[in-house]
Amino acid sequence: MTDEPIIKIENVSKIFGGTVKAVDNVNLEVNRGEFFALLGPSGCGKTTLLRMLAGFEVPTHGRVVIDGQDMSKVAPNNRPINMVFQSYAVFPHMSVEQNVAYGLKMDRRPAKEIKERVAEALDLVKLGSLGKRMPDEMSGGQRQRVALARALVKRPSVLLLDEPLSALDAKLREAMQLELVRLQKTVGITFVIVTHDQSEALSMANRIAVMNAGTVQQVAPPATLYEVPANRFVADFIGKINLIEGTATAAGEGQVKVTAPAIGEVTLAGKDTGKVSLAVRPEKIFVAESEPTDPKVIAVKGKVGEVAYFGSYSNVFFDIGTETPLQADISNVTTDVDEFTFTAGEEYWVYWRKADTLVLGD
Amino acid sequence: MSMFKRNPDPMGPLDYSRRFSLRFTVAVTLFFLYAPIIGLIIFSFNDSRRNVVWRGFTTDYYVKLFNNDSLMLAFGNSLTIALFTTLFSTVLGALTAYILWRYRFPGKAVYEGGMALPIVIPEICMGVAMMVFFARIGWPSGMMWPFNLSAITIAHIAFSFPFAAIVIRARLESFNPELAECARDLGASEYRVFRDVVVPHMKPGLIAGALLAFTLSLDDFVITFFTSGPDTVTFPVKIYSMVRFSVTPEVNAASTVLILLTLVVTAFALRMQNRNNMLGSAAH
Repeated sequence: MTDEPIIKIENVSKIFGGTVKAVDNVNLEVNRGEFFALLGPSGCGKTTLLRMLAGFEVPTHGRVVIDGQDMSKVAPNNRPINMVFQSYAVFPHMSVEQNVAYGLKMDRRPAKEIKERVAEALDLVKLGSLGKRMPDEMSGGQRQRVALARALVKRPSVLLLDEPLSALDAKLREAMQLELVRLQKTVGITFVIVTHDQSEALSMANRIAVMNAGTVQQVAPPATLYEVPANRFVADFIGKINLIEGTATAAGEGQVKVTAPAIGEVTLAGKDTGKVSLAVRPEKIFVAESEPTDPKVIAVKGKVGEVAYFGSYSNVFFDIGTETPLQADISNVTTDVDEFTFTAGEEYWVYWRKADTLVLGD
Repeated sequence: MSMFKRNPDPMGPLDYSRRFSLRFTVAVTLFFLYAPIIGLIIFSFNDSRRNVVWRGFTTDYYVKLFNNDSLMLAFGNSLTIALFTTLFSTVLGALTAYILWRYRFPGKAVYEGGMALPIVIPEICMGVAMMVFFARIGWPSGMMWPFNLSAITIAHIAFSFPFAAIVIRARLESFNPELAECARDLGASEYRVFRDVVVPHMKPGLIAGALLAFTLSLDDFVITFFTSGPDTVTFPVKIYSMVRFSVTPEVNAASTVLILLTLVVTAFALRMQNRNNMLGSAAH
């Protein structure tokens, strides 16, 4: 084991039909043993990037290095990676055992070893007793387990997963998320998962690369991605966020002075100047009857608009004079219903800490 | 109390099958379609030299049929031609279908249209064209059996394989390309992917295509007529020559045998095609 990243994506671009830039000069490194997620809206190039790792697409520019080996001239069948496909691609005319054994047969492993490893892999995905079944006798979740076992049995350096949970129903999807994390810890293989579902990526991955329009916007652990998004796209894509338009000028020592029509003038930590957005998450906003005196907060007067009750919290929209109303997630901390009942038209002071406010350029 | 009883089961606006006009049309269509065939089969058991009046049941003409050496020879020829046609048409059809499904190349649309041409051009034109073609290139005739059947077989392959190709191509449409990619990902070479994943999926299409080619070849008359010589008579051509003397129950019996054979093979092909679709939809 070395500290060398297991996957190095160096200046990789993919241009389809001479004009469509699906992937635009991407640089990424995935560490050994990591659970890495490629997250982005559909059409952002994440699947194309994954297919370039698998070898089904050839980069127009740049190169992919896996386990220290340049993959430029290596065919998909000779790469030290395996993939779980979105449709699972379980061979319909082969039994579960035959499916799982297929990759080992292609490697010409001895029959005895194949038998042992297939049984081991099926146990790993909890399909130990279903080896003789045919795929059409299995549920979607079971078929996915077959696909997982079939890929893992080859002991690849990296396992690629293309939207693995998108075809499952909500309950099964949640169970499978935990299962995948457990599996990854057990086998210690690097997982690279492609998904458009942020909750999937946030809950499973060690690190996430957020992609948009073929470029990587930010690579960070889930908490960093959520709390300190690098730009407006990431802030907007991950979770809910309020964006307040303003202009910023440098104020020295990593600080900027922001002027926003809705809140006046405020000095905040940041480095972007010019047109900026002040970003604050709804759960970091508090409500008071009278004006807060704490100089460490930003406070504005807001009129209650729409209110949505979610049990543990209420999602309240405040009109503070911006184009889109400010949304606040107010925790329902007491059983006293009157305490947290907001009525449209009521005026409150809404405030949040300056430290929780991000200054984001475009 | 109402004077009029309500119809307990009124006809719905889409209950076409209960309308008289529709029932009548269906009945007339079926009658004209099948009455001659059923008549033909019935009269193959007619105990009479001349095939006009029913004179009692007999299977004599079937016995006669199987003792008619020249007819049996024609039958053997037909089966031999059909067998080779099936073999070559299926292989050619499968390869054509695979190429059209798998690859993009310049002139693909032209090729696809050109391939299907034998399906649309009139058989008589194709027959004449084949005859002229073999005469012009001086295709050797009078070879020993079964090589004397080569011209007919080639002509049959030419018009049968597009049908096989179309059936197999339709089957390939339901193939999930991720299966091929997955096999490749698991270490299979391009050839192994074809053998292990694509061909098993094509199988029902291959069988249906083969059976289709077999029936097409077996009962082809027009093209065969133009490409056959005096010593290469096939079953349908032989029946035709028998009819020219007189329509005896023996001709009916021979026709019945041909109908039965075609029917069995076609039914089998349809079942395969059906399973085809069911498997295809189950995979998605």
